[in-house]
Amino acid sequence: MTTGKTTGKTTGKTTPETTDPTPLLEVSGLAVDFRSAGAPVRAVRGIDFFLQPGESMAILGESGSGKSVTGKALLGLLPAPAARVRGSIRFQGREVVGRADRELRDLRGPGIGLVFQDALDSLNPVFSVGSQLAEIFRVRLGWSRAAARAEAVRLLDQVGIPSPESRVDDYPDQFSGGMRQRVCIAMAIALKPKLLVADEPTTALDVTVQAGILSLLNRLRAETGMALLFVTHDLNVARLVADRVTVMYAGRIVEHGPIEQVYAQPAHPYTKALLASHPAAATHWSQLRPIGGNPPDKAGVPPGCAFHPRCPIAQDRCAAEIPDLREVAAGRRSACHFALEVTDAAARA
Amino acid sequence: MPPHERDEAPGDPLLRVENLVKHFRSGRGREPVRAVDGVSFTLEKGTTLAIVGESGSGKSTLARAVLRLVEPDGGTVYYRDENLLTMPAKRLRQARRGLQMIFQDPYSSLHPLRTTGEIIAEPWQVHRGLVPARAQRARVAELLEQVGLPRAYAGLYPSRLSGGERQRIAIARALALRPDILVLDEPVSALDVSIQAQVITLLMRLQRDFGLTYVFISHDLSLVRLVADRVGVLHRGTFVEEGPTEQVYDHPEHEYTQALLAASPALAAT
Repeated sequence: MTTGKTTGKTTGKTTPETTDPTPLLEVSGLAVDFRSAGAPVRAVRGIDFFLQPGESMAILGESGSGKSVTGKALLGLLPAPAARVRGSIRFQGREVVGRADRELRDLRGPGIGLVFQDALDSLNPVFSVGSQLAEIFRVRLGWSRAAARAEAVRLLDQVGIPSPESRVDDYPDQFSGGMRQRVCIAMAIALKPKLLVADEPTTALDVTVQAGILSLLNRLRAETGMALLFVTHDLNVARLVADRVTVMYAGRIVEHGPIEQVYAQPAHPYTKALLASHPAAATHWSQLRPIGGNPPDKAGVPPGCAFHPRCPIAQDRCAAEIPDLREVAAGRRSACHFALEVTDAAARA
Repeated sequence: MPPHERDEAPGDPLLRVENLVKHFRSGRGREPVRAVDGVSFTLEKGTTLAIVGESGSGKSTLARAVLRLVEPDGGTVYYRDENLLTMPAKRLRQARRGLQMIFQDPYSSLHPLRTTGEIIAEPWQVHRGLVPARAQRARVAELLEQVGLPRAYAGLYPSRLSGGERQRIAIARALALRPDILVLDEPVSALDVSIQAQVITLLMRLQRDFGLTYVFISHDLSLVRLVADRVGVLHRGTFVEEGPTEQVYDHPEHEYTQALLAASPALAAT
């Protein structure tokens, strides 16, 4: 792999703290329903995963897969009664689900930071970026105006904004898209979170700008030791920042494992089909292997395995029985009744 | 006779763009925005020219200026040896039948209150006589089939369709006029990953079957490599590099092209 040349993904942090008995984040049986005019929309339908301190994991999925809803649920950002969250999210051993907004203040910021896709919507246009950053330290930590401003300048410098002393008084619309996303990252890491959740942070950006943001995230992880949960639809971007990948489809996890292994030898037909339909897998359009059909819309998820109507190896059983997410190799899980056949085929290929 | 049924050997220049310029005024006393600043290229029949560039590079404005959907400030666009830019309005309307455009967002490019059958047949209201009224229903069914949709879809409204299906309808509508050039402005970037390959293979099969000529506007370098015969790299309104796809990818000459290729995650990862 030659990814190092563009983003400098750091090495040596791929081994999670296996000696640590308590993961940084432990999600089990998480389910999220949204109220709607008809039947509730089941956006997330029972998922389990964990994250060790300092680790980086990508949640990969298409629209409607539940990946962004999962990210928001971690911070308790899905308001009742519109959303109904069930299951358990334990961050540093403490339960997030069911806690009141007020009780989540020490989680958001010092515990988990969040970066969204659209940086412009995340910033207030009528305040300078410096005052928005400084406000965090004044309100949350009670710092003086001068100390807060100095820390704002330091943060802007840390996220790679040139001449931060003069840019600190500029307003969001005076920054380019990439620089604005850097400001958002600065705000997200201001209180030194243990986990940064980044939801499609580079999707709205040009490729040259994207490369800069990805290498910034990798550098910040190396500098601060924070963990990263990177939510994306982009197979290749995921690979540049993540050690492990969790693939979601129609609100469930279909595959999970170390990202290089999953890409080299997928254990679920959906992952396999996604990789084969990607331009990077071909040199001519005639080599593309499109996935037929459409992703299910949230209102109507097919019974059994949600992927079965589009799956090339589906059997009767797949329409009747939801496959469990089972271990197929060390550190690798797949939710396919025929996972071993899929991996064997990949191994032979 | 529909344009693409005329005799024309593959490889003949179908479109010749010379020194095309489009500037936007940006307020009193300010420099105009040079969105397209002297672009030239020729398009051979049955081939694909990709125009790649980042946001703000001028690629969408270039596409619209070629079709005179925005009025260019200078240059010439020869389509079958006639200059589109000096054509009177009535003649331009006729000529545009041969030059159709597909937009990025299939959610906003289809009328929500018309059935897909009405949407596909709508261009025949403008270009009367192309398809007689009694033949329209059968022709709509044929077009739906060509874009891989069941005939029954003619009665559905766009809100019932997925993004990929909507883009297929937009393609069928463009084909309804039997064009010979399609300008595709980011035709799959709004679609889900698993759907993009479906629409790309459809477009390329249609090109092969009907001898269509494509201008393919995209920011996705890994995709462009699979579909384009030639690539033009647009930066600040001008081509910094233009040439056969393989040559541009394997031996990029301009440093901007080199930076773009180096930054592309899909290409970096292979």
